[in-house]
Amino acid sequence: MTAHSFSVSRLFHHRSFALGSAMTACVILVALMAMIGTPQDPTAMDIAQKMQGPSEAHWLGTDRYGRDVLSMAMAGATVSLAVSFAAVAFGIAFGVPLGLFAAMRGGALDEAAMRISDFIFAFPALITAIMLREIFGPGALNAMLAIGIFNVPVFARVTYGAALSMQTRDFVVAARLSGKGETRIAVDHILPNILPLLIVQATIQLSLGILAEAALSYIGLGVQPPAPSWGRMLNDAQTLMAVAPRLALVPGLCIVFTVLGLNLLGDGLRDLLDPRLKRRRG
Amino acid sequence: MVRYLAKACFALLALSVVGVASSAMAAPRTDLNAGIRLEPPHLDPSAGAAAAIGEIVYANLFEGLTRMAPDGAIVPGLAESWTVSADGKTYTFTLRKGVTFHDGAPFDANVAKFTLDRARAADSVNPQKGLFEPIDAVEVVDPATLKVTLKRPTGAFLFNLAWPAAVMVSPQSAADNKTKPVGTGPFKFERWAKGSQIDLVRNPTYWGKTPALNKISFKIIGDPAAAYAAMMAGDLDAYPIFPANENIPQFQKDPRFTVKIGNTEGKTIVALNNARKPFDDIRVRRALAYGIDRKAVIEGATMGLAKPIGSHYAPQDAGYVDLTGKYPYDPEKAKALLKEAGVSNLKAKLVLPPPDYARRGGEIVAAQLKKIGVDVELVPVEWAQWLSDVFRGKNYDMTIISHVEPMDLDIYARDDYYFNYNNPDYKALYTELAATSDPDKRKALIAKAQEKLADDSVNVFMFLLPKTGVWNAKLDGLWENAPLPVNDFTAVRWRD
Repeated sequence: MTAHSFSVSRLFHHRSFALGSAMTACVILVALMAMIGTPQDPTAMDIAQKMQGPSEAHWLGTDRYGRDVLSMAMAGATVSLAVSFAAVAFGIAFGVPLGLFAAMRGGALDEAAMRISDFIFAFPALITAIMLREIFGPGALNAMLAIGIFNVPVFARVTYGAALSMQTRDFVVAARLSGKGETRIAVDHILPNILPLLIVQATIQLSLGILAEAALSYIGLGVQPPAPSWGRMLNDAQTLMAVAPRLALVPGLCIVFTVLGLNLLGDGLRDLLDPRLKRRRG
Repeated sequence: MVRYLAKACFALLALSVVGVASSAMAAPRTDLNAGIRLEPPHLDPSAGAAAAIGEIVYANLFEGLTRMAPDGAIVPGLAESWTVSADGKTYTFTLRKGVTFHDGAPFDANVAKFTLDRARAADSVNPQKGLFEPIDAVEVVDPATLKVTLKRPTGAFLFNLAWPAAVMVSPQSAADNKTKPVGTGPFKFERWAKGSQIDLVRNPTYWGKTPALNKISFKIIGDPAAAYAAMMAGDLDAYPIFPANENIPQFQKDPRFTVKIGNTEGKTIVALNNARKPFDDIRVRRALAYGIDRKAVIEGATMGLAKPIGSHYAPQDAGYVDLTGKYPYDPEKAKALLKEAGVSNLKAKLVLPPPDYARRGGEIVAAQLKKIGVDVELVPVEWAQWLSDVFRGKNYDMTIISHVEPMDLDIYARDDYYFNYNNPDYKALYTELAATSDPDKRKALIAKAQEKLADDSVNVFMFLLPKTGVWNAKLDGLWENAPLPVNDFTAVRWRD
C-alpha cells in the first residue's frame, strides 16, 4: 500500500466510491446540523395541526400528533448515526484486540478466543437486545450495546483471518527474527497492513447498524418515545399507510438513502484498498 | 405452453366467479367471521377476568338468569320473570322450562343454585365475586322457581346477574368450561385453533328463537394493519371494536361497510398512586387535571372519536352528571397549584400497557405535562407486567388505563385497590348508594359520588373509549354500543 494509491482524484474516479461518499457525507452533514438545531422541536406536539401535507411551515408535513416530520427525520439521522457509530466503535474496541490476540498467540488460547467469538456470534442482535431490555430496560443505550455486542465477533473474525495470513509474510518474519515482541509486531506491522480491511468492514457494519437500530426501535426495543427515530416513525406511520403514505415514506427513504450510501462507500473502498483486486483490474 | 396455462387459469377464474355469484344468489349467507383483538386465556367467564372471554361466549354460548339488551336494559334470560319483595331483599325467579345444556343436561333451579353458590363460595375463582357478595341464601322452591335472599337491598342485583361472570353453568361440565365450554345458548363450542380462531356452531336444541347464523368464527387478528387488510379483503365480515381508529374514515367512505361509532363503558383515566408523594397532595392531583388537555389527547390518541369524561362514570349511564368543565385545560393554573404545593422539578414515571389509547395517549400526556414542569418518563409494559406491578403490586406513579366495567363506582370504595384512594367520606357515600334501591335516590347518590371523585381529583379522568364497529353493510343485528364488553351475535343476520 503506497501513498499514491490514496490520491484524491483517483479515488473519485471510482463511481460507487464517489456516489457513496457523497451520500454518506450528506447524511452526516444533516445529522450534525440536527445537533445544532432542527427547524422545529421534533418532540413538540401541536394536535390542532396534525396530519397536514407539506407546507411552508412544515416542508414534509406533520405527523399524527402535529410534529414536524422534517425535524423528526433530521433528529432521527443523529440518533441513527450515533447509535451505529458507537456500536461499530464498541465492536472494534473489543473485536480487533481479540482477533489479534488469537492470531498472534495460536494454540489453545486461540481456540478459546475464537470459540467465545462464535458463541457471541450465535445470538442475533435482536435476541441480545431483548435480553438487555430485560436487564436494563429499553432505550437507545440498549440498542447501542446490543448492536455493539453483535459487532464484536465480526471484527474479531476479520482481524483474525487477516492477521493469520500476515504471519508468514517476510516483513513479519524479519521483525520476529530481529527480536521484536509479539505485541509490538501486531501493533507496528500487522495492524497497519490489515487496516484497509477493517475500514471496509467498519463501513459495512455501519450500514447494518443503521438497519438494526431502525428495526429495534420499530419493535419498541430501541429508542424510546418521545425521542425521535426512523424506526419509531415507521411504526407510528404503519396504521396510517393508506391515509398518509408520506409518513412512512420519509423515514423509509432516509434509511434506504443512508444504507445505500454506506454500502456503495464500502464497495468502493474495498475495490480501492484491496491490493488483490487492484492487481486483477490491472 | 405459457399461453395454455394462462387460458386455463382464466377459465378457472371465470368458473369460480360464476360459482360464487350463483351461490350468493341462492340464499343469504349463514356464517360470520368476526375479528377480535386478543385471544382469551380460556373460555370460562366465571373463572377469568379477561374481557376477551365474554366477548366470545356471552349470550352466544352461555346465558345468565338475566341478560343485557343492546341499549343496556336488563331483560329476562334463563329466568322468564321475577318478583322482588317489598323490602327489596328477596328475589323470586321463575325459570324457563325445557332448557338443556349443550351436553343434554337439564337446566333447572338446582343448577341455578349450584351456579350462584359456586360463584360466591369462599374458594370461588370468579373474577367478579363482588357481584354475588350481597347474596345471603339461595333456595330451590321447585324446579322452576328460585328464591334468592339478599343481606341488604341491592339496587343493581338484576344488573349484576347479567354480567358474563354470572352465566349459568352445569354441575356436570363446570370444571371443564375453560377448554370445552358447555352452556345453554343458541351456539355451541366447536373448535379452538390456538392463536388463530375459535368456532361456534348453531345449537339445534336451543330453547329460544333459532338464530339466523349457523356458524360464527372469531378470528384473532390484533395487529391493526392486518385487521385492516382482512376487512378490506373480505376475510372478516365484522370487527365489533376495530383496533385502529385512523382507518375508520376509509371504511366510512367505502359503501361495502357499515361503520358505527358507539359507546363502551371504557373510562380511560390517568390513574394516580394516591398514596405516593407528591400525588397524595390534592393540589398536585388537581394541577395534573388542569395540565392535561383532554381535547388534544382525544384528537391525537383516538382520532377525535372519543367523548370526554369528568369523573369515573360513562355519559350514557343513569345518574350521569357532566363534570368535564371542572378542570379546563389551564397550564398556568396547573403551575400555580404545583408551586403552592411546594413541588418543583417533579419527575414521575407513567406506565403504559399495550393498547394504543395508552401508548399514544401517554406520549401526548407526557408532552403536555412537560409544559407545566413535570418531567414524565414513559415506561411501556406488557399486560402481565402491568397486572403484577401496577394492579396488584401498586408500585407505580401514574398509569393510563381504561376501566371497562359498567358503573364501577365501587372500586374507589375498596380498601386495597391500586389507586390507594382510601377516603372514609367516599366509602360512606358508596355504602349508602349500595343499600339504596329507589331509582331517584340512587341517581342523586351516583351524582354525588361522581362529584366527590372529581373534586378530589383522584385520577385524571380523560375520555370514554369509543366502540368503533365496522362490518359488512349487508349484516344486520350487531350492537352499536357496548354496555358490557361482549359480542352478542344472536340477532345477527345477512340480508340478501
